[in-house]
Parts: sequence; C-alpha cells; structure tokens
Amino acid sequence: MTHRVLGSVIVAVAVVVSLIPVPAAGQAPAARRWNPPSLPDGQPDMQGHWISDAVGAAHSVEDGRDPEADIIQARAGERNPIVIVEPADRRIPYQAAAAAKREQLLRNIFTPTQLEHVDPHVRALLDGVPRNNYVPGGMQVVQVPGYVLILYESNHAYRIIPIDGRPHIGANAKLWMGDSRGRWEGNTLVIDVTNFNEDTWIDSHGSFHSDALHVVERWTMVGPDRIEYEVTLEDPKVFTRPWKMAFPINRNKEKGYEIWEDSRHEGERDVEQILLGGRRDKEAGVTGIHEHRREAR
Amino acid sequence: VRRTLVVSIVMIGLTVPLASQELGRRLGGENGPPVADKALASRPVVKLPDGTVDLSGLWRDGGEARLPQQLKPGELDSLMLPWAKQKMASRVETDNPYFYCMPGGPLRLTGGFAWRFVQHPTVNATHIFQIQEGNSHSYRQIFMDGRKHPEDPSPTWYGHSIGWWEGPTLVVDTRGLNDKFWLDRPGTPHTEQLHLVERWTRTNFTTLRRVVTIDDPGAFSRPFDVEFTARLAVPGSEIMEYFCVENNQYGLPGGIANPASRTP
Repeated sequence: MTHRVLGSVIVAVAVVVSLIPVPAAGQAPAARRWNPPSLPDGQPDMQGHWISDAVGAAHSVEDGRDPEADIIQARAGERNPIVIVEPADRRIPYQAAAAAKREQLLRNIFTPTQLEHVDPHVRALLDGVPRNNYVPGGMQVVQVPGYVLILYESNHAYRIIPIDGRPHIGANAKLWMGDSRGRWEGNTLVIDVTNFNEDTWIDSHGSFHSDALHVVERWTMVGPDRIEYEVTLEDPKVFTRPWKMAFPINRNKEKGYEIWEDSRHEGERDVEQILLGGRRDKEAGVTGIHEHRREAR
Repeated sequence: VRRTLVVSIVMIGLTVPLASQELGRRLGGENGPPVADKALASRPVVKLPDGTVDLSGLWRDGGEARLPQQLKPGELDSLMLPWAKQKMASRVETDNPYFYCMPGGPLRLTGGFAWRFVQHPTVNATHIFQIQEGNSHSYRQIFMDGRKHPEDPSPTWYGHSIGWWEGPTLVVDTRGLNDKFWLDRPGTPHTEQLHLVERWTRTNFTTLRRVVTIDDPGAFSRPFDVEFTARLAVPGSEIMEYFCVENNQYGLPGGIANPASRTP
C-alpha cells in the first residue's frame, strides 16, 4: 500500500513536471534532461518495443474507458486517465455543426443500422494517426538511415517516416495513415502528418475529423524507458482551434516480447452482429445516445 | 487526369507488344515504382560493417508465382499427393483468400507490389523485416538473433521465420505457416507442415536471387526448389499506401462470401 501511495506521488510529480511549459527550442529543463545513445547516423536511438500509457483513449479521448464496461470487464477502479491537455475543459473543440454531427454519431453508435455507424477500428480499417499510438497492441520503433519506422501490432499497420526534410506528397492523395514527415529536434522526434482521408475516427466515440486534419506529434525521450508523447490536432473544417493530447509511452519490458501477427480482417464477423442488434433495437423503438455516467468516475 | 489518359492511350498504342507487362502493372491496379535502370547493376553491392550484405531498399517482384512455370512440364503435378491434386482441381480463382485482402504468405508478399527489406538494427541485425505495399499493407518479420522455432507454433499467414547468413546469402527458414493462403496464383495447396527455406543472394546491385526449397510432406512427395528474381526499384522510390480492405468490391460487396470467414 505504501508503495502504491509512493507510486501515486511519483506519477503525480511526473504529471506536474510534464505540464511545466517546455522552454523554446525544445530544450527540456536540466533536471529532466536525459540523452539517449546515438545511432551511427546521428539519430537518437528510440528503437525497441513501446506501449502507450493512454489506456482508455482508444475508447474516448474525452472520457476514457466506459465505467459501465469496466464493471462488466472487472476493471472498475483501475486508472482511467484523460489524455486531452488542451483546451482546459478537456473536450474536443468541435465547431457547432461538427458537434451536432458528432452527437448524431453517438446516437447512431447506440443503435447502429449502417456500416458508417460502426467504429472503423471494429471494421478492421486502419486506425490513422494518432489513434494507432493508443489502440491496444503497442509498437516497435525501427530506425535506419534517413527513416524512422513504426511497426504497430494492431492490424499490422506501419508507418515509414522519412526524416530527410523532403516535402509532403501532393495534396490530392488522401490516406488512412496520412503522410508523415519527421525531424529530430534534440531528443524530440517531431512528425508532421497530413494527407488524411475522412474515414478514421480519433476514438470509438465517433470523434471524426475532415481531410483537412493536420497532426503534429512530438515524441520526446526523457529516459531509457520513457517517451513523453504530445500531439496537436488542427482541422479548420471541424475544430474551432488546435487541441492537444499528451501521455507517456513506456518501453515494453516484457522479456522476449515480439509483435504477433494481427490479420484483423480475417474472419471479421462483429459488424454483422452489431448491425443486427442495432436494427432490431431500432425496430423495437429503442433510441438513445452512447454516453458515460460521469458521476461514476 | 485527361492528359494522363491521352498519354496512356498513346503509350498503349506504341508499347503494348514490347512492354505489356509493365504497362499492365501501371494501368491495371498494380501501380508501383518501375525497376531501376540496368545501368545501375554494375554499382558495387554494399557490405555492412558486420560483413553482411546490405539488402535494404525497395524491391519489386521476387516471388509471385505460378509454380508450374518454375518447374519442368508436369513436374509439379507429379509431386502433388492425390488429395492435393483433387484440392487443386476443385479450386476456382474466386476462392483465393488473397482477393479478400488476406495476407498472401511469404511468397506472395513479394509479388506484384513493391516491398522493402529493412535490417534492424542496421548493423548486427536481430530482425529483418519485409514490408509490403500491397494487399494487406502488412509486414513480415525474420528473427536474426539465433533463436529456434517454437516447439509448436500457432499457424499464421507469414509463419515463424528465423534467418542467418551463409557468406553473402541470407537464409530464411520458416515454419508455423497456416494452410489458408495459396502457394501460387493457380492455387497449389499445402498443409500446416509446410517448411520453406529461402536463400536470398544479391547477385548485383539491382538483382536479388531467391531460391526457395518447398518442403511439405503433407502435400508433396518430396521437397523441390523454385527460383525467383527481385529487381531493385528506381532509387528514391517509396512505398505508397494500399489498403485492400477499403471498398473491396471483389468479396462481400460483390456478393461472394469471404472463404476465410465461412463457418467450418
């Protein structure tokens, strides 16, 4: 118990420290500064297996895991951090029309009758960025001269990120995973991601975006086993302002861990059942909205 | 778009007899980087500081197969066990799981679409990845750290691959493959006993020779070798995103049940 309290204090201190504004030019305060080993081409070595601490964000970046689902899954009382750090109300700053569309999506999620009402993640589609970083499964970072590669276990997705300063691809190409361009600023890998399609959700709460989404990720190595991850999302078509999520990504220290094959699309039968249930509910006159009982938190 | 179309039509008229395969690739949904100019072949093959060969780069082909073409006439037929022959005869193209966006196994991974060899770390690699542009937009990993196969591997589409170097040749030994993918386009069947030994040799800067020993006592009367060639893509080319699952009209939307998801 003492250890747990101590652990909470350490986590609290870490959270407070991580919220201290980072000085210009990406220089971390001296007390936090830790320099990773360099690779032969000069890149800081960020390689290995990593797993994000953003448990629950894949369900909702605003609310975390569903407390009712936690009861069913015997996870009640477990950590359920909210990853939005900006704006202060920790909600996605949707424009009015977009907020209405998202509310309709939450109603559709309650009684899904069409394919578009089902989370693209469940439909075995690619998760996009940043969602692929916080869906279950973790990732392996591989660095070769000129590139950072991120191999995700979930859906066996991958990103090949050039770090040689080349421009983005043409604006007409719309991609599930977007087009990533990276650069190192000290110990921070900054990845600029554009060229998204409109088909991925940021979480399973129907948190949609448009093809104007622009994502800037900052992966800062603050210790041998810890990355402080911060991501800014801007989308002038649906958000009123850029907003931010932040969470730690920890080294997966499970001995001998290797990515397992995830052929997500194989034998996918959930969608059929989800739609059967949704249509049956709808015919029975069931209406409602997917929402969490906030007081349960 | 219109200009591209006109150019394409003109090009078809001019070059079909000579280069229909390449054009088919560009126009028929298998767009990808062209292979590097032959003039680059004389560049030296790079050796890494650990003495192994640098295989990294973007490659084309090297595995997509019609196995009978790799063998003497009638040879494959004579190797197949009776059940395998029957299975082969019963297969129709529309049953190929590859067309339902399933991974194609180690041989198909290098077929049609571009793919990338990644040695990790760059020197004294413990892993080598093959990253595929096409179809399932997936990757295969080869363990280079001296480990053995697990005793009883769970069958997967890419199996459990371990690799080592024999001089300039990368040897990749794979077991634990499932029996769902097809060994080649016509549908040569195999079992979960399938054991592949691949020997990859960079014979010059732009060419990778791949000799594969196919050993499956469940399907063939003896092991046999097939050989493929991969060609370096034009330097500077990149893998683009190809995601088969999106709007695949071949399977469910086309009215054909996905054989991989049929209830047994």
